[in-house]
Amino acid sequence: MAFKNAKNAKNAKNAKNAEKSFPMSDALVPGLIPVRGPELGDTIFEEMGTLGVVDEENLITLNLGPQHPSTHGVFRLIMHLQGETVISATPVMGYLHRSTEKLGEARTYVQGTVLTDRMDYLSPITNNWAYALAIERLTGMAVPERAEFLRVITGELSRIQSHLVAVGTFGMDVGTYGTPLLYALREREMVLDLLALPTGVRMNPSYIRYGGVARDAPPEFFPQLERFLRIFPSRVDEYERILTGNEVFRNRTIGVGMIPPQVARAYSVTGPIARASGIDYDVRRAEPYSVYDRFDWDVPVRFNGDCFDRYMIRILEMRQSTRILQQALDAIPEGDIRAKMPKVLRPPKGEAYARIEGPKGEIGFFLISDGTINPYRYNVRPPSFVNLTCLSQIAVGHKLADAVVILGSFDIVMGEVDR
Amino acid sequence: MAEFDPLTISDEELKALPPAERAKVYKARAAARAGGAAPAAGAPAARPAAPAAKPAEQVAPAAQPVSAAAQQAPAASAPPQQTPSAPAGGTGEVAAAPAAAAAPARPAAAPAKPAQPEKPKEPEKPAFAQRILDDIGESAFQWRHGYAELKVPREQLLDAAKSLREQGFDYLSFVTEVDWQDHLELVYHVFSYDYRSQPLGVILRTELPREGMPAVASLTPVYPGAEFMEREAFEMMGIRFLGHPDLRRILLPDDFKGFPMRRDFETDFDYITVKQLVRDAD
Repeated sequence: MAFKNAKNAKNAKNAKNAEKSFPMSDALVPGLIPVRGPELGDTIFEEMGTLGVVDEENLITLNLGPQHPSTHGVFRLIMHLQGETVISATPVMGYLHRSTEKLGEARTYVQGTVLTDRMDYLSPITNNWAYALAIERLTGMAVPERAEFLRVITGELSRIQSHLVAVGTFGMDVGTYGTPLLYALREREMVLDLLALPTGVRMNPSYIRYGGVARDAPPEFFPQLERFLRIFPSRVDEYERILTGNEVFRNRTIGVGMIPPQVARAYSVTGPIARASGIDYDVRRAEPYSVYDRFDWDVPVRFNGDCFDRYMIRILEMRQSTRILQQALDAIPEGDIRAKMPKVLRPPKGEAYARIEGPKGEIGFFLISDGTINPYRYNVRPPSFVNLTCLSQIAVGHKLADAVVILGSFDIVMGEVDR
Repeated sequence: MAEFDPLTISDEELKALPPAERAKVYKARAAARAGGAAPAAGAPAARPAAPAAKPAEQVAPAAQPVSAAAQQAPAASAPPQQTPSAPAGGTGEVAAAPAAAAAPARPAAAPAKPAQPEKPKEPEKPAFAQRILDDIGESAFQWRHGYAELKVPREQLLDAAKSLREQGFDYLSFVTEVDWQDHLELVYHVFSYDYRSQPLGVILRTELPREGMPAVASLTPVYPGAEFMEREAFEMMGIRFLGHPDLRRILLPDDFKGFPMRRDFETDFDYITVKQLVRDAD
């Protein structure tokens, strides 16, 4: 349970009810599910500030979602409120569950690529990439250099696209009435049109396959990308002019939803959220994959860990992505885009875990091969899902309106959380 | 073309350069980042031929050896077959042929592992692994794709995790549950947030019996981030995590029966509401 206060009768009752309605509890030995664990969990909770005595009579239970625009999809947050203050927040998810992992076991390796598109649908190419990397680690496939560069280019474009939506919708959560969102979507259109050139489609491209990429970029792609890179930095300045210095925006975000670095570490938080809390962790640096170690770029880190910093990290990362794109554009070599591979892939028996830095955090794939054409196990580490673990701890003690801002700053995609 | 120093060149000058020259500047900068001040002397002189070769050699034992190693390939103007020196390719070449699992002594040139120029036959067992092996009986160690893999009995899983946590592995990346038909298995991937001091990754795994709902200690007291992933393992594979703060189903409906990720799971068609409705209508 997200709350610790055992004095709270209603919470205790809810917990008991949940246990009663829990269908598998008859299979359990009674008393085997204890309350929140000792040690680390508890100290962390106390560091977040004590809640004081909760007045039981005035406690309100509120369902935020599942159908609510501020939950970014079908996500439900059961909150107990005292006045406007959040006493506990329990996330409920699974409304978009499509049994991706079970489907992955029944598909061949190349068909599994298509399933990855539907997870983080705002940046499908990074999902493809992690999956392809896992297969390449499994089989020992080498990827041609041009394909690596095309991966970096399309991957960074996806990162920009995902961050644009994150920044725009975050503005909506804070109450900007849509202007930044429309500005961000304007640039997202450019990115999607750009991505449509090599991939052929605007969404769900399945572009990065094991051994390379699906098809080569047409010649007109590179001048258009150059044009985009000329325009884009000034557009980022534009968002900053609208949001970063905006007094209302700053008041709503600075100091809200602070995640101390030790909490972020404990809760396995990755991506922009971790980097906003002062954790200098980026898989592109920690475990360099592809050709990222040939480019000159920085990992932006900020140290307050509040919603404003999470927004700023995304802005800064878009600028860094532009830098990487410029260098990749300059250095992309000619050559093959695909390794030589069999028509039907049968990787040798074994297992592999591959992780990359997606826009939302570390996205990983764990594949087990039994030597047949289907993966024996197809398991995803979805960054939004893991980042959500600390939400209930962070939202507690804030006002209801701030809880919405915190959720917005987490930048979750339900397609990935529920899979 | 005028001579220039890739580390001090201004942005205006950089923009005026042709793309190929620009790429060299970026490479030199990346090499400088990987090796501190080392390449500052070497890079300008070596520009026409191979700007990154010198720094890469000097830098090899430094903080980010992997990037230095990857620098060597393009600088040596290798044929395209060799050039994809990215971690995936490098790892695979070494680890693929012997099916990876059967190669405990392989020094897989892993992304996170220091790359050695000459391959030693036996990579040393890291100190943290040795400590866990000493503390916990019946535990086993091997290398897998450059990660250190530790297999512990399930009674000692929490102890092993605590030991790892104390020794700097503070980032539990992933919890996987696997059904091997005759037993279940839990696989934890653990890394360190301070990747500069501890670039290694650890795979912690433990076997569980398959009958009923096997129990194992939850890692949430050590790694609170395991909470949702363990809930998922619980509902998908029917593994009880003792000490978990909130062990309920997470993705599936609360009245769902069975554990869908087990290999012998069969869909209960009565459960599917649409079918139910169709049958009721008939």
